[in-house]
Amino acid sequence: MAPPKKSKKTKRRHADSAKCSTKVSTSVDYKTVESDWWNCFWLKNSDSEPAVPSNETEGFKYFFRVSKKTFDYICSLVREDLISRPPSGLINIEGRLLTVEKQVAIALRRLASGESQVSVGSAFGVGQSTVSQVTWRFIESMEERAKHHLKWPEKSRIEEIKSNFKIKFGFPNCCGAIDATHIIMTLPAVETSEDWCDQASNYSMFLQAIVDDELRFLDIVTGWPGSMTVSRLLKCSGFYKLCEGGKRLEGEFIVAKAAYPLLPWLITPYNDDESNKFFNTKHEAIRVMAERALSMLKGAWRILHKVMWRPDKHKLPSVILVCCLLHNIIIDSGDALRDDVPLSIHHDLGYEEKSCDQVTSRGMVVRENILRHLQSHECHQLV
Amino acid sequence: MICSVSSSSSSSTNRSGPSWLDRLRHSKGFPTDDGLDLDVFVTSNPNPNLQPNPDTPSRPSLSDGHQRNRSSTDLFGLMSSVLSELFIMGDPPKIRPKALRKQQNPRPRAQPSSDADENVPWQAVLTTAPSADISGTDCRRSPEEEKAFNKKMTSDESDLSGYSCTRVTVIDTSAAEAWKSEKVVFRKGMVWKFRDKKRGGSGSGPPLSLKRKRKFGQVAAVPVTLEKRKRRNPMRALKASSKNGCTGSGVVEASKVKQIKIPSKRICRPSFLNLDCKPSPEKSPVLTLQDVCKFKKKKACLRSRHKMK
Repeated sequence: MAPPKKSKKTKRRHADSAKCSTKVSTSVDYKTVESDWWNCFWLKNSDSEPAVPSNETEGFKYFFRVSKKTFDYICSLVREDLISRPPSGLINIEGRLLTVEKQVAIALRRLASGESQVSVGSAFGVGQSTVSQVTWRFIESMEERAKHHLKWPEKSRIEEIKSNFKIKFGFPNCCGAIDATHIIMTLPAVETSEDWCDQASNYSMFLQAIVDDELRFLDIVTGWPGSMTVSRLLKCSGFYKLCEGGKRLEGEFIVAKAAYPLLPWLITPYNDDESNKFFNTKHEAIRVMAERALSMLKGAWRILHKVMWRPDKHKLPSVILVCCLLHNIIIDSGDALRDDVPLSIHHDLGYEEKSCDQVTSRGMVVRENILRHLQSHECHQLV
Repeated sequence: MICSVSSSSSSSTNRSGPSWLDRLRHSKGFPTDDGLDLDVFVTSNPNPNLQPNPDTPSRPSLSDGHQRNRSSTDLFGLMSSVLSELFIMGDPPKIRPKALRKQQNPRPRAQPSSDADENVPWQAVLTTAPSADISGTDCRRSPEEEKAFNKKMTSDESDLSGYSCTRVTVIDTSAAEAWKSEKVVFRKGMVWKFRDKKRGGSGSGPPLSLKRKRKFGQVAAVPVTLEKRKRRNPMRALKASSKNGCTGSGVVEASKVKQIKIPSKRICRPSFLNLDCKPSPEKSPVLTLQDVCKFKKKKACLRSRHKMK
């Protein structure tokens, strides 16, 4: 008699149980590795540079720009995306799967240092390809999961920003400052195009940002070629369309440098510096906030500061966006950048500022009104 | 080479008159005797007084020079001068490389633009706007991609010839729809034009941010339907349908299966499934898959009984 056949169901059960056991073992691995990655990294890299602080907490911030608490928050944002896709090919040297924490750490280190994928990989004991894949996966996830850290504020927050600007600088109804910076890159010979070649003969991509009184980014536009003028870049943005359509900045304004047009909602400085020095000085004080924010961005996330080696121009905007999101997360979580983070004097060194001749009559009226308000306020204070 | 004495040569066929050779000799002052020894003639007449016929076209560069400086051994020069007077030889042939039929660096021809904002004459575009990259180097794509792209653009690109074009991915946090969008930038000098990149077909695809790449270890979320399979691989679809027929209802839906276009008759080998488009009524009655399954079961049952015995 033939041996009784095992039913398919029992086979399936066995297979399921086997799967479960692997899952359990994996989760156990995760737990054990979770605490390991930082210890391994710290042991390996604490002496790598003379500037590395001896304090472990400060060392963490030195390498990843964020505190451990903020790091955990970022991990919580992307965990679902990074854990739901088992990184079958992404294993470290010990042959174990990468934890979410280690993946986030690799990505943050790559963005923060701007070092090559090879050197970042060697710091973590992983290959260049792993760094590339992990970083891109992190960026994709952050794009979706951290959107709420970069949005135009609600009415109540706008009122708060306006009052802060008025208290600090005396400007009424000011909601922020706008500026743009070039993200410089090299292009492969086949892709080299004049369209990307900017006024400083670099191939670059634009980032336009509007910042508030806390140096948070309220709105960004990126992806446009660096050969444009900033006024054209502005006109390409959704922000411009909303403002011109009366859906944003109603009776409010933002400040901008002379390269932008003078509009009722976009106030530029006076050209004659001497006669309106009083206005221009106050104006400048707000405007430099945008410059500082962009300097901080490029200083903290040095991948944007360095000349990027042949990036995918369709992926680079995502990298820029995620760096802006991280910038806002640091501010939102109350972290501050370490003092030793190298900030350049200007975010866009080597670029000559050209003034824009476009002036609208309504813009002039608004600017005159602000000037009068500032003068009366000044007189009132003197009295 | 055009023969200038075609009429005379044709008349030379007339045997009554002097032959063309005689006339030639006569015109050059040579004796017309048949018994003339050329060697003797050449050596004895080192400087013959050759009077060219004023009617015949003369080529001073060839005839004069040769006649003046002719040596006794310069028979070749003499003959060539004679021939050149008889025939229009044209310029001495110069060795030139054959001109290429195609341009070495083809460039699209700049057409006059109908744009209101473009006052520069179209001829001047090429010369006065060096920054205008007409070749559009950033638009280098694979041939298939190029075709598709061109097809999309032909409808509204008629006024954009001469512009360089660049495809960009823009992230705008104030964008009306999705943050991320793809645009096409056309540029000619300081003139910029922007278009939203059309999506294939209706253009109402999901926003770019939602259209994510397939991740590692992730199988496509959308199951491949039978219809799709049919389109891709009719053979595989056939197998799948037959499998479903066995495990599911037990009957292959003949109407469904018939919809599959089977190019080769060999695919219709399992004739018992009635997949052939031309079932012969004379043959054995058509069996359904259910019947086959039943038959197999019965057979297995019989075998086991036989073994038990």
